[in-house]
Amino acid sequence: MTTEILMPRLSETMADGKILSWHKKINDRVNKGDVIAEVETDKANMEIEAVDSGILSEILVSEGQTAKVGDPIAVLNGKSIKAEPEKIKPAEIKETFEEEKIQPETERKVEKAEKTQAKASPFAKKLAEKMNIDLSLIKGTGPGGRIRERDVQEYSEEVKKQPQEKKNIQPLSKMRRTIASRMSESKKIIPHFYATYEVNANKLIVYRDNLVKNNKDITYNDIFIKAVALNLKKHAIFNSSFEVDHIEIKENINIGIAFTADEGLLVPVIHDSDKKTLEEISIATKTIKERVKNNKLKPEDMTGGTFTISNMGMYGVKEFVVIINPPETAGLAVGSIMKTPVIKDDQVTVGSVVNITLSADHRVVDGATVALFLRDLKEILENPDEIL
Amino acid sequence: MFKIEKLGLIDFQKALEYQNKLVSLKQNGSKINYFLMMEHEHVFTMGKGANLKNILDKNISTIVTNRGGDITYHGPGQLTGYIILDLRSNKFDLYGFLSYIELLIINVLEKLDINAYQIEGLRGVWAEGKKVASIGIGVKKGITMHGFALNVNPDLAYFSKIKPCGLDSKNISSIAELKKENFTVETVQELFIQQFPEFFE
Repeated sequence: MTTEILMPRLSETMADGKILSWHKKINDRVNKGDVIAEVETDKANMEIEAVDSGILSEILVSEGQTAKVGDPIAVLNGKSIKAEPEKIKPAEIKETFEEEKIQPETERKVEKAEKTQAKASPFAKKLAEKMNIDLSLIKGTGPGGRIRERDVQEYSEEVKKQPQEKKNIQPLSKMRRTIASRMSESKKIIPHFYATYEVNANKLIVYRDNLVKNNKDITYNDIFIKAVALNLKKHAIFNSSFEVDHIEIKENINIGIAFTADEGLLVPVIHDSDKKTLEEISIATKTIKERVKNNKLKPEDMTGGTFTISNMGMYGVKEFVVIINPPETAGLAVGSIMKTPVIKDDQVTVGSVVNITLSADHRVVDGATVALFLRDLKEILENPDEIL
Repeated sequence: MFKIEKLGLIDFQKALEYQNKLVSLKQNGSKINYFLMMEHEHVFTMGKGANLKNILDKNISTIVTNRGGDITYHGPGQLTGYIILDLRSNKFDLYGFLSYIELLIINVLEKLDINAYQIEGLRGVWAEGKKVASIGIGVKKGITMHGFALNVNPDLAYFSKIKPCGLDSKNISSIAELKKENFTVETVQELFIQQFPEFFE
């Protein structure tokens, strides 16, 4: 059976890895557990072991090249036995010297070897690489549409003549790259759906004001963490992750709180949020904030989250939706506490409300389950002095 | 369980052979983890993915080894620490492990009143905008080797023969330079012995 060997995820936030060396050659027998390659990621040189056995039929990523996590890097038991890439074959070397008087036989060989790429002479390829030109954009004038060196030159002249658009290029920071890949992965894989509840915040404001008056420096965030943690105890299905053929309900309730940092965002985790008192949660969030400031976050501050809360209240956002932070099942978006006309006993009065929106993974939960979760959370937030 | 060993001044290759021996012991089931501390004789080493452009003085010889990262210099006055442990049975995440090594160094430097920090996206330990310690590990079937190199009071001129980890050698500093007084590797080594268990036991 043909099996692809994939770039393994060697660390939770690993995005890609560079192949440093292959320990197996094409046609080598690979047994499960054999070291097949060395991969570099973030200052670590890791040996990669085979998870399947078979004959190595194809190497897709050659030494010195980088592949994304999950991308195929080699093939076991494939049909066609191809030579390793980047090793110049005798036929190609010959070609280099006989570029002008093209021999039909050599020509055919080259075409066969490069089925997937644009057909081009080695000189043309070298030049294109030097000039950073994508060969597939060039129309070849050689036999069979083959691209010659001259075509590349002409193309580059052509491009130079065209008015250049000024581009302001901002390179991606590592954090930006991690956010980009995690968020796209989440949206690609998780079927998101959303539900919003309006919560009456009158009692919540009084509750927090009283805490502050008693010299307890508790933020709304702390209260939301505690409220959600309590609610997750009742609705454990939201404290889970979807695995290939099952749902794993997590034992601990570790709430992550999305947090703006220098060039992106961090989601530090309050471990065992349900077992902590409001004061303890407040101390934990303060400690983490301090560590973020001093660049002293510990790895465990960032890992093991089971549910994420994102609060944009301080920015005056009325309501919004979050992208689920994988592998979690749901995330909560908390808007601003806003004054609004409230109808009470058929009279219009001024009240305070806050909109909460849950994003949930439809593979795990359905609409009614989400409604119940939000209804109970609303109940907690509307009666904080009785419940928290 | 960790065994902490002080190897003194030792040739890089000899220390590498010793590391390889300990790694194979662990691959064969030994439960003992090791934290080795030493100084090397003058040597330039590079990871397999290193960029040859980072060798500025073409007369120097380098040793290519199985640690991650680019070219660097080791020599007397620099404390190198190697950690041999099983990532899998110790449930360490790879990046987390690298970060822990940095945090260990930051804590040791704190004891010397040096405010050191990590930089997102760059490995190593930094103070006053310069790099004082480099990180690079190798992992063989789940067993770690290599580790860190902390400049205590080495002759920093050696770094100018290369672009250490692709950086300009001006960006490399040492404890002695930061504190403007001399420090011995022994003093710093003792601090590591005190701090190590907090992070890795």
